[in-house]
Amino acid sequence: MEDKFKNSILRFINKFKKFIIKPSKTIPDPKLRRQSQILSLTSFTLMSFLILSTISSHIFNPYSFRLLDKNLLIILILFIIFILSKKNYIFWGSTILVWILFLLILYIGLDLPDMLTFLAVPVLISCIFQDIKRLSFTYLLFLLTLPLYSYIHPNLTLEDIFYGIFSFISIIVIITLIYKWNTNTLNNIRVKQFTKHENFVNSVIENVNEAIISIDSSFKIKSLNEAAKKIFNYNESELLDKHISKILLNKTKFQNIITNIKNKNNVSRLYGKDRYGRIINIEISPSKYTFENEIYFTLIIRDITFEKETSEKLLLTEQKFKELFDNMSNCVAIYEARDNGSDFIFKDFNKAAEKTEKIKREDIIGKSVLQIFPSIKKFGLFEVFQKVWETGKPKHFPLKMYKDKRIAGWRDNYVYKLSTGEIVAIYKDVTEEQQLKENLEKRTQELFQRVRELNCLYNITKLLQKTDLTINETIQKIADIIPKISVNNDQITARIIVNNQAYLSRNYSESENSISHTISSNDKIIGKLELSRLTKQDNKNSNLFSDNAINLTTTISEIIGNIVELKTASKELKLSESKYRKLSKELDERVRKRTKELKIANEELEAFTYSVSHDLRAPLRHIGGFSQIINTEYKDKLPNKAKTYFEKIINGITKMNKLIDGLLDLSRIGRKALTLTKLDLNEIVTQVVSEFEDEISEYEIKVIIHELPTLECDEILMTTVFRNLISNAIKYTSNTENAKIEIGPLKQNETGFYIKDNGAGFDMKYQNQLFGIFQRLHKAKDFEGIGIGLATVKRIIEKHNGSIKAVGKPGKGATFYIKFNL
Amino acid sequence: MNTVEILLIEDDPNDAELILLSLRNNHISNNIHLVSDGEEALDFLFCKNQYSDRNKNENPKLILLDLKLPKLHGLEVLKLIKDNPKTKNIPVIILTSSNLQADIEKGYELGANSFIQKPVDFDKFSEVVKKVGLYWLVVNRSPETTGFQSSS
Repeated sequence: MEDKFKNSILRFINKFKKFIIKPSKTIPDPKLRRQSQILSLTSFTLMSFLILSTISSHIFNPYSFRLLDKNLLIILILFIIFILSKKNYIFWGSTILVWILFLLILYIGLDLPDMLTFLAVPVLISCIFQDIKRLSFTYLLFLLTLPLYSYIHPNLTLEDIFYGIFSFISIIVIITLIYKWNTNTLNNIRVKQFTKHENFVNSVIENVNEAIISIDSSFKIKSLNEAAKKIFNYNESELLDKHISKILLNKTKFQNIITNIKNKNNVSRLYGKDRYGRIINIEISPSKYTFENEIYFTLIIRDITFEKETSEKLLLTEQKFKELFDNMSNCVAIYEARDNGSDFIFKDFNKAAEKTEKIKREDIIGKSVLQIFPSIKKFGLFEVFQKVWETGKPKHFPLKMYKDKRIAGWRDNYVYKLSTGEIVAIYKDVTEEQQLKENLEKRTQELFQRVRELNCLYNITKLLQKTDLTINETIQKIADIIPKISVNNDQITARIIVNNQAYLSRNYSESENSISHTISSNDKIIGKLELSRLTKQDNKNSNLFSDNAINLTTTISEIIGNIVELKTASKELKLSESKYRKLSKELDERVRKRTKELKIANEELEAFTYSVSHDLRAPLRHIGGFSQIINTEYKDKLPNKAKTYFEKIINGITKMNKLIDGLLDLSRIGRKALTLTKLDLNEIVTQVVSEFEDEISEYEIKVIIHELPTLECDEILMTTVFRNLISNAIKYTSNTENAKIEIGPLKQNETGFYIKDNGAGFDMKYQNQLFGIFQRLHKAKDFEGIGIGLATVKRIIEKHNGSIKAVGKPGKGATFYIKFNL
Repeated sequence: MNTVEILLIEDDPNDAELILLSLRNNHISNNIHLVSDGEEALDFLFCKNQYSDRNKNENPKLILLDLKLPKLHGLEVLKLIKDNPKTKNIPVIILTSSNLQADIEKGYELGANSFIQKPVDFDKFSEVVKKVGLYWLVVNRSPETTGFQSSS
């Protein structure tokens, strides 16, 4: 009963202590925490003793009520400080505290008992918390204020002093008593509890595997347990009062460990040595305790030599295995048998396997192999798993194609049973290799086939060059060449039909398995090529012709067509060649003859022209000349009528002369090459107009000449053009009143000129006849003319790459437009 | 024998007569010698064959040359006249019935002094002959003749 009571008191004190001392959790710095502790403690104590003194002063002096309100104020302030210290406002709290103390002492004027009550506080604190150093300073400070107090309160009575000292001493006494009582009770409880647990602790210490060694501050071994003796192989007497370095290496490291002992769970690895000098790997957890003001250390030492070695080895092996497992290029799957080998569950799966099976390790661990690889039973591997699991003998499951809805591929499996009972399947995905191999074989075969085909084609093409062979011989040879494309067990024979004649290869026989292609020559079907296969049954694809073979057939057919075409053509060519030669010779001769003829004709024409210009004129001249002489010399003797006739003769001759001139001009244009020079048309026009001065003035014709262009043309011919056109215009305006001739350039974007008159004009429906030779639109009676002028103009203009156009109306004049296409 | 003033080279007697007529009508000269072909013309000029007794130093003052001549073509005659230093200074007037550009060009190239197309119109022809004759015989000063020659 008593113990229980004491225990409850002890617990209460502890709780109370915690409440007062425990610093705020929000304060991180340990130094500040400490200050906060002190502050809260001081303020709390001051507060409690002020309350106490107020009560006691009332006991001793029931009339001193004057202090009550003042005390209450201080208590309130102290309470605030206490709260502040708990709330991480230490600085403000402590500042206010110091100020209040001095204000209280100096100005407000405390009663001496109050004053002394204050002085008792540090004593109490030091008693309870054994922190004398820090608080003795405060204590001294209060002691020093005592003379100051007496100076401020000179009317201090002896009674006051007496009762002050009494209250101070009484408080000290009470506190000391409480403290003493408290310590004793505590000690008693502790001793009893200790003895109660001592046996338990001892048995633990002696029976644990860890060595427990206690050393003093000079590192001398003070006690040790059974395990320590075992680990280090010493007797107790051999180690007691010996320096710890007898059993520990790394002295400096050990010292470091001891100095930094404050940290909890401080486990360090060190090396120790036993009696025989064996090095031991140890793990030390030190702790500190004080006993009778002496510091001791307890060392819990664990021998980890074996543990370390094995764990290191294990770790290494495990790592190695994991690495191997993951980095193996082969796929590895580990299974655990379930239900007596009726199912296998995935236990592990390496990276290669993940990649091959396109599945994640974490997705399949713990799942049944039947679920992940649904076709495994059909595949046959499942049976192998069961056999290996039953017998424990490894088995090879040779290359086979695995296929389900998700994946497919060639697998080559080795199955083992581990000592732990798990089944391991090591396998390889050889799909790619298998496919490559197959492709390679196929490709090689194809290439060989191509080579044979090309060779065949080459030989056939070569036949084209053999010109001495007839068509029949060539085709027969082709028929013989084709079977050379055959492979051993795949005989190909050919039949070619051209122009109803069949050409068979030597071993030809009818077969249902055949392809054919028509042969055409000159876009006409002349026959067909037929390839047949005589295949042994073992070839699966024997009834199919490859695309290549079909192409080949097409090509050969085309070649045959070409050969037929060529051979036929060459035959014809030979025949026609001689014919052609003869013809060309004839043609040559004809051309030569014709040229000669033309040359002669040309010469003749020249001679004719010459002769016309000279010889035709001479008799005219004579007729004219003599007629004129008669008409002048003998005019007195001639009757008037004769004179008129002579005049008519002379007119006729003049006209005929003009006709000859015109014809000569015209013929000359045709023969003569143009001599192009840059000509100012204005000059030519002016010159030509001046030639007609007489007529112009006679008929009173107004001639207007606008600025004309400069052109590249033949001077003589262009002069002829203007001469003809102007004379024409003069001629047809000769009967017109207010006759006018206008010569000017064409519009801006056209090169050329026009000549316009207001004379007789013409009917547009005859405009086509206007430029014809010897064509006249007017009666000779009205206008003289020979009908050559405009024809000549047209020829000259056309020779200059130009064009002439006439626009007119009867009686309203005519306009000639001459345009040059430069 | 009077000094020959004009040498007329013309094969056509009709033309020759017409020319002589017009010359005479226009009172240009009476001393006209007519030759009917090129060879004769050259014989005359260089005093050969039938003209060997002719005074070599006497040259006609004017030559009227028809182009269309038998045997030797007018242009060849012209060439020989103009090539010879003795005769090259004699003015040569070409009479032609054609107006072929080629003939005209060639004629001037060889040194012909003038060109006259024989007009069909006798009056015109007569006029031309008169003008040309007067010019070359009267107005023009040849290097050999110094004094003013009056027409007779």
